[in-house]
Amino acid sequence: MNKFVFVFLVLINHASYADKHIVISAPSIALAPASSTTYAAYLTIYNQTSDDISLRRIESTDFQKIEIHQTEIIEDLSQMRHLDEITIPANQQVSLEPGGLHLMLHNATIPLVLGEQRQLIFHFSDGTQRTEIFTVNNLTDIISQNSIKTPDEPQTNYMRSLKVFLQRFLPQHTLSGLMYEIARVKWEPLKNILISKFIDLYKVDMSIAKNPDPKSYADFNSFFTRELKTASRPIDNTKNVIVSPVDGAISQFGKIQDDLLIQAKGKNYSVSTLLGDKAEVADQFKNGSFITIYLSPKDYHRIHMPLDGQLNSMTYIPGKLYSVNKATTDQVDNLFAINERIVNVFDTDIGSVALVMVGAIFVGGMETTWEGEVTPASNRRGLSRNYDTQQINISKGEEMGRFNMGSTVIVLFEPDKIIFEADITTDTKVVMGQKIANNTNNSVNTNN
Amino acid sequence: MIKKRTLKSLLLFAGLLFIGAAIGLFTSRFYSTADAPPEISRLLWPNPKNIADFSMIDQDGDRFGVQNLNDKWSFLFFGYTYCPDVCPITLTVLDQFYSGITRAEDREQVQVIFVTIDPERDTTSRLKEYLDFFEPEFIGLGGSIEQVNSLTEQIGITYLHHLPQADDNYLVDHTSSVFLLDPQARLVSIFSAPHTTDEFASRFTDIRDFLSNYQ
Repeated sequence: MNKFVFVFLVLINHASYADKHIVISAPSIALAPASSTTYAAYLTIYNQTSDDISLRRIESTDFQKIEIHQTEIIEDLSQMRHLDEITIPANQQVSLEPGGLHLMLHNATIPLVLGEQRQLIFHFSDGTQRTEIFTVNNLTDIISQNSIKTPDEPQTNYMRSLKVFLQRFLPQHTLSGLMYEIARVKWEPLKNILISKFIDLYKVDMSIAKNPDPKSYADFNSFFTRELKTASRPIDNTKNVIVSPVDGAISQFGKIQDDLLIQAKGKNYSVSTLLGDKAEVADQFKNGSFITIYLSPKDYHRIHMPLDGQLNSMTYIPGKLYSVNKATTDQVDNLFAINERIVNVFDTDIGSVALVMVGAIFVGGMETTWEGEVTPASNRRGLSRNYDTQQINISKGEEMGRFNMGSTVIVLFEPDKIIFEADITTDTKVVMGQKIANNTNNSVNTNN
Repeated sequence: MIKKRTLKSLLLFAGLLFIGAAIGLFTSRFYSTADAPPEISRLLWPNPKNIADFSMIDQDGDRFGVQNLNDKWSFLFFGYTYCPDVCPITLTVLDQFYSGITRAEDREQVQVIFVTIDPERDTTSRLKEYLDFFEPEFIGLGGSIEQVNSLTEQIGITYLHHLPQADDNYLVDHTSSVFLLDPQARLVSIFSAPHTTDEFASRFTDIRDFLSNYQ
């Protein structure tokens, strides 16, 4: 309950500043023992302008002195460094979070109590002055806000490893082929049982389906890839807004560090491998941004365009079919670059955007609107097509493909083209059509 | 026509059942013969370091020596109560790990020990208040500088006191790792920062299971 209220407050807080050049989110002060006079404060600063801006000075009537500190661990020695200022590069963000940058609030005039609020005034290099309300929170909540995971039962961990380990020996393609057949059985007693059990198991909300009668679907697959009522998935049509292409949970997102994307905490993989070792395509996304969204079985399984685009190329890369659930992505190296996948590259207002559909165990197949069924491919041989002469244009929110079972979508952007929404965090649930980012043309046009 | 479809469905079902059974058998076989040592990172084996006797004072004013490390798995962290960022984070993560051990008998085998490397400021009462804030079951150790060094020198802890600032406050640089001692007071593993509850939980389970074959 506390966490819910906290997230709620963060959202409100964020919303109130959304129209400004500098956005501050998740401002928190960590609660400390009663005898403490010094506190650490954390926040994220987004610079939505096209100029670098520095945070120069912070003041408050509730603290004698506020400093910017950075924890550095060098050769296992933890050291505290005092910084004169923090520079937030144009169109980027800087997070002050536990174990890294933070504000040190010295000599509180009144001891802090959980849930209380304090005002801090921020002075930036461009002359902006901003008053922010900081809430006193438990460090545990601040850490989980920064997406460090909560403990797992040791036993569960062992079970998780085992399940993942077993997958290495499964005949992944045979099993998936079998599922493919079952999902297409039209014999009524069987397909009706499959569909109704599935609805019970995953608590599927049929009321938002365009066709709410489960029995009316010809087979399990057409139920699984059912269309939804248009009103249930409104597309954020604001110019410069990039929307989620799918229903799912965000598994990772952020900057691509040179050629490396995050798969799970502590696990990275390479953009070039993901895109099938095509240097000319992969180079565009070096140091760009990415977002990985996991579709669970109960989700809506059609994939729509996150922004307007013209299809440039489609590449089908054959591969394994590991599960893409959290337990597996945490453990199998290079998972997304091993699994079968389809790489779709679009030309857009913000340069190239790649939409990668990753197959998984039991994903009976993947389709695109222009090619129809791409997998399962009878020969499991690769396929690469260029469409530069065909003029296939797809608008934002229009369907571009579907998974004939749950899986993962990865969207790649070129460097400095987008800024993710401040309230997007790992494990956040998103629905198709919901805003996930702004393109950077935005800050110039709409902030006047 | 319908007959043919029915037959096809039945065959598919039979196929699924067969695969399900095969997975079941395979899994159960795995449970009974888990003898292959797991790959454990930073396990100081087969040469763990024996901790010799030392003498410190806990947050209740009682003497604490090497005999208090026997019969329990001890997680040791070295810091100071005026530490603004790293120490609260490490203690929070250790508490998440510790409270996350659901079976009481498993938790009773584990003790978390916070050793101050700033004993002049961290008096017994201050240590007690500090640990009560994070987890009252954690043990806080202090004493004289010599008493603190009787333990830090054995484990190889570095700490550097900075000169006091204008307000008399001063910072201390210190080793950020957490050290795991087995129930025979032998240093068996080192956890480097940044710490996570997952890492504590999974590596501890691996090490405990692995070493139980050697007792």
